Amino acid sequence: MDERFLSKPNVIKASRDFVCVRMMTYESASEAQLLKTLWRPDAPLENTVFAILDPDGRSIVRGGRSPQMVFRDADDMTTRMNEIARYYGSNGAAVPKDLPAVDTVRLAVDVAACDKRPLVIVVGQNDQERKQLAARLAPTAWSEQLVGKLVYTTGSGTDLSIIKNANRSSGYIFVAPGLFGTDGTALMHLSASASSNDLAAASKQTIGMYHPQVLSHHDHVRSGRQNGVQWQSAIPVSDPHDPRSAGASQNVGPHGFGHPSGPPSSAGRPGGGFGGGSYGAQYGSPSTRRQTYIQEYR
Amino acid sequence: MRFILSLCVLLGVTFVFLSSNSAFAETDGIGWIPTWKQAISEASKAHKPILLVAAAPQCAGVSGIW
Repeated sequence: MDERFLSKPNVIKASRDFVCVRMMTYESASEAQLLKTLWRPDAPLENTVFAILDPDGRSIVRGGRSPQMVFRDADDMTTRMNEIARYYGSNGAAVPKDLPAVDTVRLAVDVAACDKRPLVIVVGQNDQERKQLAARLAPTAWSEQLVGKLVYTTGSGTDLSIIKNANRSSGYIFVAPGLFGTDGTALMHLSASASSNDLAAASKQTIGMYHPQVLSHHDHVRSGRQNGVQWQSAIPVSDPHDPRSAGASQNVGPHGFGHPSGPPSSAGRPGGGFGGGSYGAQYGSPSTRRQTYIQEYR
Repeated sequence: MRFILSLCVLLGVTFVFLSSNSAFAETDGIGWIPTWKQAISEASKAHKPILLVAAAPQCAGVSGIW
């Protein structure tokens, strides 16, 4: 993640007028197909992709490996985002209704570790119960005080083997992810009858209790290797900078393999794109492949 | 005396470390939706543009880092 852009207060503020999606590369074959259409469609899918799309999923700012390849700096990104939001009449008033839940407990623990954020697991005995409990938590998750501060997922009691001290009955578990995102520790539990106020209070308390260990990128990877950590992605890694990729190069940057900083920003600002009088993305109008994919997914 | 001084320095460093890490978890962040299916549905309903990022939650096979 390119924190030089995405953790800046002005970018975060501007993001409230957008639907913000962060997909986990190589963790879904169908999402990988979409990502490949957004940047260098004929090349192997790299670790990171960045794009800005219209409400129908069509590119309005050309894709790239990271915001650094598209914008000069965080201020430039903010200016462009505000232009786009104004064009669509978007304001932060409408917040999503559904809980932003990562697909599986295993993946959610890893994402929480990556973000250095605590995790909330909604535990239900069946789909219907999980949906009901998630719906009660969603307004809290999207509230102004808590948006973006926790990671969420849903699961059943059998999904909790990697969570220490987890109560497997229905309800909400507030979890501190481990350093490598392969396990976590339950800090708090709430029952299935918890109110919205209970959920907000527990969320804030969990944030206060969570003290993540922070290592440099290099030290994290080295320590992970020393500890035998080996993450298995859902689909093969194809980033040419990753040593496990079939087309791997030997270029290792200062941040390790496949860091989203990517190459120097020689591209500079996009020639077309929003605000420049054209919606043309780098690869012209949206491809048939992408349109087909988007329609299939609806 | 030297032991007490060292202990104070150690406690101070620990406090600063824990405070800064706790503060990290409390900082504002982008409200990410983790799946395309949910994102495109929300964008269509709210008529909002989409900020899209994808990142692998591992580096060279080591998880816990983007």
